[in-house]
Amino acid sequence: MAVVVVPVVADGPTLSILVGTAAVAIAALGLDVLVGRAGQLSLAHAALLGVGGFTAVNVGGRGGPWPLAVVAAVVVTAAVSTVAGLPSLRIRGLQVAVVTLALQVMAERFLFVRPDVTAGSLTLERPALLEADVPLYLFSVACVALVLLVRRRLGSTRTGRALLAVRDVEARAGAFGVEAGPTKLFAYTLSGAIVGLGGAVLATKATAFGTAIDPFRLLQSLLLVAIVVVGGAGSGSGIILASLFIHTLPQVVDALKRSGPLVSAVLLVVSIVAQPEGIGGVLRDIPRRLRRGREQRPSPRPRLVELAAASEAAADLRRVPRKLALQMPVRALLEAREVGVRYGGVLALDDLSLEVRRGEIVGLIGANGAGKSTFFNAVSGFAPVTGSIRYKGAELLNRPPVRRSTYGLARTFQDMGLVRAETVRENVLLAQTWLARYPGAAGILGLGGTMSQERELRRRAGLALELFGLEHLASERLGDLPYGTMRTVEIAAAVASGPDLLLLDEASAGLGPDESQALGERFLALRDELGLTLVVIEHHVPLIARVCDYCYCLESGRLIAEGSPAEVTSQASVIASFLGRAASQEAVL
Amino acid sequence: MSPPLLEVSGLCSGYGPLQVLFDVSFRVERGEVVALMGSNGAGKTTTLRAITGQLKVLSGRVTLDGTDITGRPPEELVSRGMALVPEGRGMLRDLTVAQNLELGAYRVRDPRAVASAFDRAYTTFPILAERRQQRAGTLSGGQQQMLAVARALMSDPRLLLVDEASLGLSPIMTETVFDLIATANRSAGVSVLLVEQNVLALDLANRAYVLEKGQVVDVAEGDAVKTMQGRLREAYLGRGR
Repeated sequence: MAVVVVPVVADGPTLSILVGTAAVAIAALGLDVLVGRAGQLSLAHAALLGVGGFTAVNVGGRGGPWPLAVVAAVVVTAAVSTVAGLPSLRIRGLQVAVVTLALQVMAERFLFVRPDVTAGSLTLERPALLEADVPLYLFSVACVALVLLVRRRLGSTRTGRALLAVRDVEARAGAFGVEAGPTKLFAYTLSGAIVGLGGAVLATKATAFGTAIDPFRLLQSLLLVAIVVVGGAGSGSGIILASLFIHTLPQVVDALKRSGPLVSAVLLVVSIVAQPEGIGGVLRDIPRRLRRGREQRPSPRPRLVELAAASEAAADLRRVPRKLALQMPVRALLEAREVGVRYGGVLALDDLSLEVRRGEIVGLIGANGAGKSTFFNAVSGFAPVTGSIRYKGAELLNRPPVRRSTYGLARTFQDMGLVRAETVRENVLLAQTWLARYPGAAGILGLGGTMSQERELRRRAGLALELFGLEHLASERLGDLPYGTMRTVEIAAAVASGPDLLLLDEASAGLGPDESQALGERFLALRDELGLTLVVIEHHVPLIARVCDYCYCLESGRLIAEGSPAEVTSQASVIASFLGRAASQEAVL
Repeated sequence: MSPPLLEVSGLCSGYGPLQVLFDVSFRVERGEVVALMGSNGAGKTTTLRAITGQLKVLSGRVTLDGTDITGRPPEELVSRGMALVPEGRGMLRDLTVAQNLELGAYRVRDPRAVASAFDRAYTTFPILAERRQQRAGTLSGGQQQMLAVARALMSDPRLLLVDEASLGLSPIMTETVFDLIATANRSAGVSVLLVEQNVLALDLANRAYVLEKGQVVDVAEGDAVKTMQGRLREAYLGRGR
């Protein structure tokens, strides 16, 4: 609405300022793809805006048609941004920011001072249609809308979700089949393409820059960061409002023109302190506040479900393409032989050998610090291992975690491997990253089978959530849920990824006895109805006794007992190191 | 008659627009161990956050030794003699055991008091003395939980609040940690509020409350605590399906 009214009431100069704001907003939205979604800070985005602008003028000014100039600006800036992103494969956080700072300074000092780059003598030929102020303004608004659409699409693709995992749980992202490196570079490419479009808008407005490189200087890079912070990382509408606030307001309000930067700076500080999550945070809260009182919060606990029906439906989750077929003859689904893991001077696993047979639920018990989680890390590729771990007869050592997830291995982490800031549903989709194999760009454009692949992932997520009685919480933010529920979501997510072998670390932690019993029923359903093989690290003895077919007990990285749960829990060594007095008490439960 | 050490009356709280606690009331007398039982999502952690000023109190009152402390910031509560063992242990993984303990005594000004707090911690938790130079992140889960309790005791609190000490601990380690808390209660006279879903916590409680959907639904005192333990076990078994 406002967008349409503005050209009627505003005069030419104001519209021109607004076109500039649109370019700045586009650059900020592009920067936010890195900041909000990938967790990477760039201080070179004004320089990238310059790359886009100068590319457009160079192409358009040398007789290239205007659409080609726009496309060239997008493509060249995307390429430059991708190269700028290469260091992020090795370094993180502030170090990346410093590298981008160096790139910004280099661009300013060496690139933007060259007449052949800035093309001082050239003028972009823009289409006659865009000569007038109003059409030019509408064109810039359309570009902003396009960028918002792209960002929205990104959010519903495997790449967009993979970026969240890279941002929040990078070290563990491999467990979902997320390849951190290519995923990060894609964010840089997309961010560059968006900023390049901003540069093209700016070039279309100015037609020539000459020596006027102010919009591409370091200060402008910092201002873009400020816009993202004030707008709220991840919030498109917040960032657009912040662009108007920071870029337009000082130019159109007379009072601000006079007192200038000081007032803007004070406003900036006040707005950040008053609302640390930015304008986006305020916008997000509005619907929640409106809902208040009218709607009851759903119970944050898993619901009881008709297990037979739910697990019959969920059996479908096993139908996934599998590269690794079982190689015969095989002693067991998982065979660990003389596995050793050493962290510094500490021997976390010492010559451990054990087997997990197909279709069994195997319990892994032992004192805290006995090496149970380390064994999971060894199997899923997160620990330096000696010895041999064979899965379906194939040696797993030296295979990256991503590869292992495609083999049908899924795991949970003792202290959560999921993204707490996202909803339950997004997390369950994230865990299935390896199942959808389309490239990021195709996903954003909705090409080929990407939409149907996404639909399939959503259907699978629904089945898994239903099985664990979590579907009523699908839209809740994971981090808002109680600990025990979060852990159950993680198990559901692992099941949704369609594994053959499920490794569950402290499966029932945070659950009360009633809920852990319900969890046990689900384990049996996973084994009997879905045909899964489970290894569970567990401290809750009644659960082990109820569901486990076989049981191993570790102490100080070594195996001290194995056998049926009853055999193991009656051994003196197990009572001494793991059970204690509870041996008599809890077994009754 | 002197007021209870901690008294919570009519507490309502929640996250933003979501109300989680409804009119929660309970008290901890001097020298008592009180258990606040509840299953996953009952509002246990929320109660602790509201008491310790980490969450906005919508209505109701929290008093410590008769003084109104509703909504006071956590650092002030530490000075007033409260200490919290947070859920998930809240360990500074890159600091050593000794450095973590030192942080627990951050508000203690007198260096002699700090020294004696260290002595006390190392006597009560010999394993921590052995590992004082080890990084906290390399401790096992049980040892980290002990460190979390020891760290909370460093400020020589009158009231210790413990959030799910048994989480992720082996049965024997759960007993050990509960035993240590009982020892601290008996020997140092510190009053304890145990927030738990493990019914074994009731072994050391003088009084207990059950929280369900953000409301107190059951109270027991003295010998009745044992009966409550049985009741909870039964309830869990009956509904578990």
